[in-house]
Amino acid sequence: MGDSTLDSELFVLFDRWPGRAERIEADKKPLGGFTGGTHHNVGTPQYEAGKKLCVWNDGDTAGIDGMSTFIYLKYAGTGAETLAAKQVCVPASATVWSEVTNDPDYGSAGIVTGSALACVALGVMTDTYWGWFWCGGVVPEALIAALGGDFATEGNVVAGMICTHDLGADAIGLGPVAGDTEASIGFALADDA
Amino acid sequence: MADKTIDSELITLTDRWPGVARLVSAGELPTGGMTGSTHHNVETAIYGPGEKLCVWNDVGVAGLAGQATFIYLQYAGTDAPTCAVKQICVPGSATVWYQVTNDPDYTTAPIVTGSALACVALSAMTDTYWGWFWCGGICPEGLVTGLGGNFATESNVAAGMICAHDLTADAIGLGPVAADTEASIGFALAADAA
Repeated sequence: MGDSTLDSELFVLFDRWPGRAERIEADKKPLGGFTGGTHHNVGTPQYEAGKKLCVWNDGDTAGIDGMSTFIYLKYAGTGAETLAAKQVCVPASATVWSEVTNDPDYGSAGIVTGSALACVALGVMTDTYWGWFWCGGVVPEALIAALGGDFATEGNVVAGMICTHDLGADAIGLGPVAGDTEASIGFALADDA
Repeated sequence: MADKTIDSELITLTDRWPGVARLVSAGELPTGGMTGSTHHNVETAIYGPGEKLCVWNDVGVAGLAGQATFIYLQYAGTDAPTCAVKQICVPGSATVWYQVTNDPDYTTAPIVTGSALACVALSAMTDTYWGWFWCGGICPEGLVTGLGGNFATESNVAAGMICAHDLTADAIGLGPVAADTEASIGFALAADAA
């Protein structure tokens, strides 16, 4: 079955990452927004590992109204494939929980299909650098324009619970929950396209 | 098998809805309480979709001590069944996440049994109107008159995880988690009653 897509407004993510998000107003976002150059995609973390911020997405600007949660994590990857906005990431280390990868074949990625922890990249990142990822709630399109549009799926998503899947392409995407060892990471309102 | 019931104090709900709740004191509740007429069951939303408030249940009035979470959503229904307090609601739209229905046969209700998102109506609601729903924690029966007492079940609830179920009656209620596509929405302390 070929991979497919699901529109960004047709699913929400469950935040299962450690701790509780701090709820902030839109004008209290990190400097320059969540992809600001002083704290996102940087070699030295500017926030604690796993810091979480929850902010309203303004549907009048882009996307749909509702709350979105971001988490501060370390990226690990090989450059194949190159990280980009909308890519699903999963834990990539056998020793620390705060390192994630978009590479389904990454050496120490423990779980790809059915990972209970997942997040979405906001843009390109450098290997071992720190930055923000979308990890809960509605898609924050009004805050990160590149998050709008189609997310990659395995071609078998139906309305209901979704989880991470190793796609036909060299990527991690969304698919249905099909086994009792697969954790739902969100809820789809409709089938994939 | 005939539907049964479980008492409001014997269940808690798991909040999976987007965002974090704002913890407020009883004195900071919306005007007139959670069912105040200026913001609950109103045509024009007074809060943002999915606004969540977490408050301690008033045990001096009714129910158990503990925190309860409310969420602000849009109701969609056909009047069959009529929306009423204590009814379980699930997403009722294929396009927007914040519209919920109490009708298991609602045209666009994608999932009834096993829905990962669920909430409980606080009162009768008008189709497409906005209002508050209980979505997490203990039953806030000290804050919302009518939430105390029996909740409808599918007659097969055992102590442990519970999920939304399409009941024999024309309603959505509570049942056990029985398949890997069914998400638990809460926890029962005991089996349902006869």
